[in-house]
Amino acid sequence: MTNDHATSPDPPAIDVVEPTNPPSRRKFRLSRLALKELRETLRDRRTIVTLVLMPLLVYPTLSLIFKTFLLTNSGMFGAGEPIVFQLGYAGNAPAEEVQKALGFIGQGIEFIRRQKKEAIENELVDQPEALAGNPPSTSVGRGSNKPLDTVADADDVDFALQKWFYVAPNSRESLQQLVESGKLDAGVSFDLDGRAWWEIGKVNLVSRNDDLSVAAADFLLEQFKEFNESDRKLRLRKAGIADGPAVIVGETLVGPEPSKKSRQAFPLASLVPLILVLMTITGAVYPAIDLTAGERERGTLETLMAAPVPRVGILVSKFLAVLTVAVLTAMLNLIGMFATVWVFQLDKQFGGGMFNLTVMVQIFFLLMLFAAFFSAILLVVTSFAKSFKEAQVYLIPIIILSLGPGLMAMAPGMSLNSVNAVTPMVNILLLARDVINNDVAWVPATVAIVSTLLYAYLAIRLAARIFGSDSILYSGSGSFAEMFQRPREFHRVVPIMATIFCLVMLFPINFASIGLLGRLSGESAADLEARYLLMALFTFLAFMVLPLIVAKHQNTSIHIGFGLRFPKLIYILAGVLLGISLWPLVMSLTSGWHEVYGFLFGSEKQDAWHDRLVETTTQQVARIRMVSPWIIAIAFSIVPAVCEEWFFRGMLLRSLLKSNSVWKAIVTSAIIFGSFHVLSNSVIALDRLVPSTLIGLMLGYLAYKSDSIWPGAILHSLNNAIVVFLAYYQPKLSELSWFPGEEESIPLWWVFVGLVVAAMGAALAWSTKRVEALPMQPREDSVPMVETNRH
Amino acid sequence: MISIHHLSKSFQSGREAILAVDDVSFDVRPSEVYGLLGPNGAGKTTVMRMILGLLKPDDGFAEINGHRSDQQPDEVKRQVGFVSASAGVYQWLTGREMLAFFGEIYGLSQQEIESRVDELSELLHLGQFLNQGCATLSTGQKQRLSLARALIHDPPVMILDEPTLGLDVVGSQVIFNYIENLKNRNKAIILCTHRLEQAQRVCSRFGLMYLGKQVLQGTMGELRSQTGREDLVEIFVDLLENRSESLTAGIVNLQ
Repeated sequence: MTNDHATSPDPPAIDVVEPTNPPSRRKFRLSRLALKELRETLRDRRTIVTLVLMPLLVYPTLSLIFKTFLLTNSGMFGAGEPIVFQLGYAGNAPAEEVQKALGFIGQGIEFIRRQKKEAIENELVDQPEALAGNPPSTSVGRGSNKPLDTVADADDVDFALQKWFYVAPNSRESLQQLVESGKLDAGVSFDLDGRAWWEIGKVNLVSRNDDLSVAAADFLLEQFKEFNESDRKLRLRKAGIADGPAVIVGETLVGPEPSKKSRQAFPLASLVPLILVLMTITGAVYPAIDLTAGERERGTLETLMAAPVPRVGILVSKFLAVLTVAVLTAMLNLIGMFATVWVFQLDKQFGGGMFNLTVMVQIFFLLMLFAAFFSAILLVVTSFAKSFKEAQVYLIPIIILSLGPGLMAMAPGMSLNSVNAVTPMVNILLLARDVINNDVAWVPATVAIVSTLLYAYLAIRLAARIFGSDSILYSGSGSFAEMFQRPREFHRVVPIMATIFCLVMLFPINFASIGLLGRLSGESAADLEARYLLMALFTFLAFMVLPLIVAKHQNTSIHIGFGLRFPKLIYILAGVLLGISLWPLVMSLTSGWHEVYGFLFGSEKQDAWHDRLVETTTQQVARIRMVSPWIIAIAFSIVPAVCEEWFFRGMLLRSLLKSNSVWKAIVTSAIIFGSFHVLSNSVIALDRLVPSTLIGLMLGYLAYKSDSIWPGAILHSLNNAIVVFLAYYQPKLSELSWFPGEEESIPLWWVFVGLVVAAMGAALAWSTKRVEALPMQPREDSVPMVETNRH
Repeated sequence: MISIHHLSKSFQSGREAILAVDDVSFDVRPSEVYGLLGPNGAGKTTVMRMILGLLKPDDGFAEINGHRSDQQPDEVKRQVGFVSASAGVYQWLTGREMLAFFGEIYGLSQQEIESRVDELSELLHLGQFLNQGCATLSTGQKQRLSLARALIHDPPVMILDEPTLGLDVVGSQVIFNYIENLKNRNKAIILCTHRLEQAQRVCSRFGLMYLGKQVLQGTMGELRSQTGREDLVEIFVDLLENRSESLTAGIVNLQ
């Protein structure tokens, strides 16, 4: 700076406009920015097309498709010629009592509700007759196969025919066999043991896994529910009885076991959210491209960048605009969809699902969430692009990809379990389906909502980072292609983009390996040994070989980039102490999670879940005990410990440390580490998140302080080894009364001892000075080292 | 007012690093128009972007009224009006809406915006199309609107990157007249243009760039004595006809 200019008097005529109050102004500007973006977008013809024209075109078309579907499947779903359910009864009750009971259950209910009592007398079931494997004879009763609460007008109810058959105790085929072989569609068995017909008590419902049987069983179940719930007392009074015990329906499924959700006749409840979500995507795509890549192409972005607004502010305003358009699209589509469903009475004809105002509002809320998530994702992608066309090219695969989770959520067996609840898009779709089915479980719902918000936030952060980088704003650099280009420079640690690439690749690899291992179902010792070794191989390939290839490709020093130096002995000691002491804490944390689970879901579900957990654990332990301890040590302790340290604390943490504060890097790597442990096993899922993340924190800290992955690898393998071998040798240990038995929990004092030893280990690591990072050995064939971080 | 200290910037193109700007320094005082000239790809636009803080320099820094653009980019942006050849207008807004929007971005009050828009509209003859959608404007109208947009907050510094690109003679005349007007109102201006005759008329000093380097610098008189050529066009032709070596050898920094 030349001093003569700095000291020269300011020219008098210049009046610089200085904002008097920058912070409040900034806030104002953000909303102003967003308003401008929105105004611009909403004036754009193309936005209006997707916003208004699409719903106008799509839903009438859809309704046609629905109607066609109805016609082609009319026999099944009530429109057109009704089908005759072939139903059977088995039990020891006298024929006339059964007749009364079945007549009452099968059809009386609705007629009474509609006060057409005469219908009962006219259309009672004929005498149940002995069938015993003969072809069904004529005994026809009529009833409705509609759930009562969806019937608006009694007169337009379609009737399904039922034939009831009496399966005598001495018949050649049992009720189960008859249902299984398809001679009957479904059946009930109950004994009266001298009680009156209204005291049925316990009923066993028999069905098999096909649409017809499921429909018949659903019909019966519905009638029993009716019998128990709404106006049971009324009906009993009408029948001249004060009250009777509730019918308890037990279900027996014959043939291959179906999944619970396959009971839905047609997944309208799944289809509606998918269509709405896809339409919301359609609404968001155009503004997302136009406001980022489009503006860049037209040259207005640079002008905006030249103004005193933070780049994040610009991005957030664009996000708000895209979100608004997406939400508007969602709203119009929702109205269109519900109008279609209502006008064409699709909900009645397909059965299952509720389409009322409350549901609509809830779905709207979910769509808003989804819109926020997807708008952010779109902005991440379009922020990369320099032109409209480039952005379109990037978005096509994204949209096709998003069909994947969409179709996945359509699958009948899907439910909001812990994995699905955190899977983007799938969680919202399943939750929306559950809302329509009035079958919402609040904890997974909350998890789904919170995780979606979290993803949206992360995506906005990422978008802001990409959007703001000047390498994206100008010149040819920063493109996707460049990410995969091998840099000439030599790096100390793996560049963060390459690490993220590795992380992204690990997810599908992980899923694929779980799937492949699942196909190996042999249960002999040799099969199990092969499976465990294969598991170790997968871990090795995914967590060690893949990162190694990526690091090599990125010209990174393996020794420094993965932290392979020999550590100070004191850290090894800390690793050993922590390795032997953390397991009681983990176990108590896990049972703590069980309590939380119980608190959230109720003790009944907690017990059921606990039972399932115990069952799977017992199975796993039984398998483990069949295998040689050496293989267990390799597959469960050494390989996972070394390979996971190699990736999480070597590549990931060191990559993160490069451009983040120490704690941010450690916490991020620990959360990712924890999430991987949730994903690795869908059965024992969420309970592993907290303990694994906490251990991840400890491992991260140890790796940071020692500048090496080895103390952590020791900790990790000791911890794994202790847990797995305690299970392995539990019977012997319990015999020696060194360890509690199978069902007992560990004594509290063990936890305390563990805590003390762990604290000692942690204190050792804490009190020792951090090991200085290794200097870089220059290589002859490489260009001088450069900073890898562009931002 | 504006001082540029040893700015350097290289871009990664594939595996190659291209030095787009190589150690460029100059100062611009109020009431001065600094003509930053050079053939396409000389690095002029990169220099301007670095002054504004839109690009981070690899080396050196730019200062405006004592604010460094790499440290206080917002402060710098507030004091600069920026017009570039590629600057677009918002297709779906009217001229008035666009000016008002930028006025608000720069923190002007509603009254300030109104009086400022009236003032600029008169000076740059925007009146007849100010309420029209920007998509319907001609190139000349768009460029005048861009200039008005850059001036909405009455900045003490103007950075004009080829403001007359694609304009006809009359259109560019309007712009150059206005640049002279700005000079008379004590603005410090950096002007980058290929219209050498007009540049020669309006600029107080020049900096010639070629291949990222600052080849020549000084007033018209100083350039003449350095090169022995009469006007900018001749100097330019020399530069482009690969006689640049002799020129680069004699870089004169008059600071």
